[in-house]
Amino acid sequence: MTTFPILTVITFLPLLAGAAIFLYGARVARWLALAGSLATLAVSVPLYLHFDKTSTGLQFVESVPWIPSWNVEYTMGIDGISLPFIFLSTVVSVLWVGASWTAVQVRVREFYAALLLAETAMIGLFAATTVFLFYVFWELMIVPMFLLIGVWGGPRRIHAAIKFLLFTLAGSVLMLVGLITLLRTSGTLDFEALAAMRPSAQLQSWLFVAFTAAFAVKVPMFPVHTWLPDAHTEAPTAGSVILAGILLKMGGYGLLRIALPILPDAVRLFRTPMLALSALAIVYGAYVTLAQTDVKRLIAYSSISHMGFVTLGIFTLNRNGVEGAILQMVNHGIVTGALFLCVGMIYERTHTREIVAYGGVAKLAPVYSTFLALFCLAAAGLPGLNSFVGEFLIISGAFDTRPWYGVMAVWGVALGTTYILWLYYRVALGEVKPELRALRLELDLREVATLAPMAALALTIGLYPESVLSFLRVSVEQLLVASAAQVGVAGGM
Amino acid sequence: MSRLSDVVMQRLVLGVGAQLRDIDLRGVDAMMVGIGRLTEEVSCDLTLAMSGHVQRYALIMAAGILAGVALAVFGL
Repeated sequence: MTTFPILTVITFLPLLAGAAIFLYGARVARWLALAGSLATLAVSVPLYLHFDKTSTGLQFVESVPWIPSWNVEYTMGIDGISLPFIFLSTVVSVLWVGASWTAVQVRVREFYAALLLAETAMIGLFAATTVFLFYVFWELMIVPMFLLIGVWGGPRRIHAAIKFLLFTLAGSVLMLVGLITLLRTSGTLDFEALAAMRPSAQLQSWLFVAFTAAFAVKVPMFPVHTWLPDAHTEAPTAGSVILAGILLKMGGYGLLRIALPILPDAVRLFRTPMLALSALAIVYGAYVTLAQTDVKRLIAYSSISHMGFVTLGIFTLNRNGVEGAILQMVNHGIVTGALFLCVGMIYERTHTREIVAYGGVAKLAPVYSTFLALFCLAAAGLPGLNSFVGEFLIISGAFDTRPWYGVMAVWGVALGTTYILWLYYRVALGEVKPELRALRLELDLREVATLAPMAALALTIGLYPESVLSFLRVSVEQLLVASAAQVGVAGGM
Repeated sequence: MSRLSDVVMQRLVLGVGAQLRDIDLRGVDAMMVGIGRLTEEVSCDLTLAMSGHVQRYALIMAAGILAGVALAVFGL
């Protein structure tokens, strides 16, 4: 137990900054949002410095009674699985404030307040150690996302926002049912206590269906993925970065935090269909991505394929697969978030997302094209860049468990390389489109400063994956041992 | 060789991609949207039941209580 409630401070500091924006008005909204997100990032630094990588338990734990009649406590704590996501949330939050600096000109105050509320929800979810608190932040996240898409989105924003809301709420209702059932049968909602109790196999199956329905929508898994392309396409750039960077990871994190340790018998029972759906998402998502003509829609569908890798890794139930899945979530947050930033930056100048409207951008904007090339290569899984390590671990985990799913994953990688390099070819190479000549496409200093940290992260994790994997190792082992679900060969990188 | 790669790329890869894109839009997404529409229509029909006639509400409530009692007594 720590004396300074660092996790609570990190969680609610953005919310305080959001409240300050309402007090001080639109004039300073951008600066307050930047200060709030930078302060949150700064306060989170001790988490990485003082995190004990050899410890199996939760660290920086804070606990106070909340609702005694339900045996619900306000408890926060982190382990090696949650720490990378908190890091990702705090870093990406600074960048999306920077990315929206000139793009958002209406309701500026409300926009930044919504962004900061989203940051609070994300960090809170990753720091929660009870199902109740997890659910509170899960639901809280829906509010700012709905507003970001519905108020600051594109022409079909209302349709996209309502679709997002209905899909996520449908899943959330089932999670609520699961939460109430867990409370009634176990008398606690604490993650560690629930993992030690282990409900009956039949109850686990029902609970798995309820919780996984919510997680599958968020990931999103086939066939409940159709809200994502609309949401991504219509959301403002910051909204797309939140979606790709963090929101999708909440589903994968939920599977790791709730399904694997608390419902291990059900995980084994449903393992084959989950692996099949994951492999299907990888290949199906990649094929549908190939046929897209809208840049944002293309990256959205590629997310379905990439997140298929994540669920495949999780349900391999071996160390390589699970470590790879977590790393892949972080990598996807960095790379796809950066790709959406790139799309947003050029969209601000051209006001079109149609791929055919582009061509020869490399001649007009070499710095922009260099960043785009780096992120496209990272998304393609080029060795030396971050996604390669995650995909490698997942595929090796899949081959250790069910080789045919490994084959499908490799097929997905090949298709992924095709669509992303083809996208780069059509946008950046070839003849310059006459309509683009009159535009100033090159990035300014603020935009370079926004993309540079993402590029640095992609390179750092790619060249030295231990920078993330060393945090995960003990927690993943603990997760697999505690859930008694380890299957196949547990090998390291 | 170039012709072969064109056939593989255009017909097989992009062709399958286009087919699946249409299935995703007109099949999977349409099914999800259809479920939403159906729910909306059922909800609209249910709102028609709110007639404002207090006697009708009382009758429905009484029927519900009777059904509940029957369930408790006879264990139906």
